[in-house]
Amino acid sequence: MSCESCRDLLIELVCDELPADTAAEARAHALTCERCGPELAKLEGTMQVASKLPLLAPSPEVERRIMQAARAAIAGKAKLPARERSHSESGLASWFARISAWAMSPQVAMASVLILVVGIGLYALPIGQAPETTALRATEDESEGAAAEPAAPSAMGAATPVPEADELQEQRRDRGTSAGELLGTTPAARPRAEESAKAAPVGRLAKPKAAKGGSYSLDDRLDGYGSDKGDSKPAVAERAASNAAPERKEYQEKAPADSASGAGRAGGFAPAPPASPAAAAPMPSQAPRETQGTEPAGAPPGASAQSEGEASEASKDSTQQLGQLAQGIAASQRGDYGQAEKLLVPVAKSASGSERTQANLWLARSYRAQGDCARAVPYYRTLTQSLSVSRDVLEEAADCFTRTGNEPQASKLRARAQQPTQQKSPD
Amino acid sequence: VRQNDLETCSDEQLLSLYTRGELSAMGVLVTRYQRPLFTFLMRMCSDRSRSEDLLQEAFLRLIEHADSFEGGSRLKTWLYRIARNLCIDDMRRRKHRKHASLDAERGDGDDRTLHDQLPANSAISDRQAVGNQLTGQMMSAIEKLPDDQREVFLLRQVHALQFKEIAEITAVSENTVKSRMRYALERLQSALAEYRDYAEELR
Repeated sequence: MSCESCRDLLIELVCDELPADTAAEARAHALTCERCGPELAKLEGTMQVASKLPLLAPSPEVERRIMQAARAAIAGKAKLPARERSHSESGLASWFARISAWAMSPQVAMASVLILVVGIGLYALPIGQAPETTALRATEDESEGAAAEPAAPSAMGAATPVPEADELQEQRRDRGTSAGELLGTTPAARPRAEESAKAAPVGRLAKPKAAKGGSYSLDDRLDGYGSDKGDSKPAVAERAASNAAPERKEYQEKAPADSASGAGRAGGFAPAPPASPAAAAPMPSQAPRETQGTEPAGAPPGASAQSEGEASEASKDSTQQLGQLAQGIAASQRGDYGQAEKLLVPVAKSASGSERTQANLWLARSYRAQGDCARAVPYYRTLTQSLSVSRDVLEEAADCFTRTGNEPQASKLRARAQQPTQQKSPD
Repeated sequence: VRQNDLETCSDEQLLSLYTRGELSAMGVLVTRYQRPLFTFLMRMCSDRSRSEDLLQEAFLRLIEHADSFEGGSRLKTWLYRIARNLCIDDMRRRKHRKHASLDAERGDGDDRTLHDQLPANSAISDRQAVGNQLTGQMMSAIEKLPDDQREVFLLRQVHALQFKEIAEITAVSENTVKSRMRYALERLQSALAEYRDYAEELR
């Protein structure tokens, strides 16, 4: 017998499935073969150990139930007794086991992950994808604010528990400057604010905003760059901060009873924070995530680090700032970019509201016109965070992002520019 | 029919007697097959409760279909096929929950957990103890075999079924059964070889 034949027969040999003569022949070969002999010995050793495996016995209860069923069947009972479960896996335990099996199945796990991912995705969707809806919501919120604030200012502010707003005000008091003073709503500050509003001579800043009984039409809001007049939604906190100033001033003329407690609201007539969007008092409905997200991503260099001294300075010299802003814009328009930068940078750093927005815009344009897109990009980034930014600005920003190699952001901005709700250039 | 006479009857004769009203014939069949079948089910499912349920179910099906058994195959083969199919269905249903715990009772009558059955750090000088450990190792190795190899190994080694019968039960060719048996033995061999080395070190 050859080795190959023997090896093929080894498994049958150890399992006693070979005829006697074949088995004898195979064993004779294995005795003399250096390969087949050890292999046969190993297999037989394993079989020997395996043969010692004990037989296990079920509980006597199983046999009792089987015999009960057998007896019932013989007795001609049509129906066999219900299959009793041998163990406690019945009733509640059985139900729980089935539920557990279902809940732990891979399908349920995958579905849960999918739901989680979709949920997070929906939650993280930028609000900017639905500008019309946001604008409409802003209208409603403003209308409500206009009706409620003059009537019960204290209830809306001081008496309303707004922890974040209170905390901000507390910090300002600690620094020796009240929120109302900074915001131009205290008696001492209000004349300055009114004066600033009257003195606003630049472009659309000089355009009168018709306060229709404390409310604004949607058309009014959409007129120009700062078309969002105090959207109370978190994603537009910066817009509220940067654009609400003119309206605020006008509203203050009509409703001087408005109190500093309005700092707790970002509604259309709530006083905007002095300089930084991040300083906007978070609303009860504002998510901290979004409030925090506005500044670090988009504030131009230096703007976010504005000190309280600068804020105070800005409050004092708002008239001068407006003059600087007008001269800076004029310089940029005539191509004197050095002069424009010199005039606009201080305004961008210290001004608030639309003054700051205009300064940012013309600084961005000045840098872009000089081919320095790297410096223009931070300003465009801040500007384009506003929901109702004009199409021209979006296209300019997209151009700058493209030049600086940020094509994904450029594409997003171009897509926004194609949306029909984008406004025309403010200037 | 006297009990002694019944115990000498073949499986098929016992079933025939049962269908004619001889209850004790079924008792002999149950006594004859409950331990091998239960062992097979336990080694396949590793769960005492489930194995007892499956064993009961297999016999209930035998009782229900006793009249329709035509004798085309051996009753033993038929009974194993029922048990095997029940076991496979059950394993499919519970596959995702099959995680043997080191601290869970094994349910095979041995109250020690698998952790307890693993070799201790202390030296084992007693040959009997080593033999017990070897058997434990073998059972552990059997549990780790692929299902198709494990069932062939158990049917052949524990229940002494012939390859032809196993092929009939598992619905595969006889050569496939031989191959699976060989693969199973080789796997067990390597698992036991590791243990033998360990046991040698202890001596």
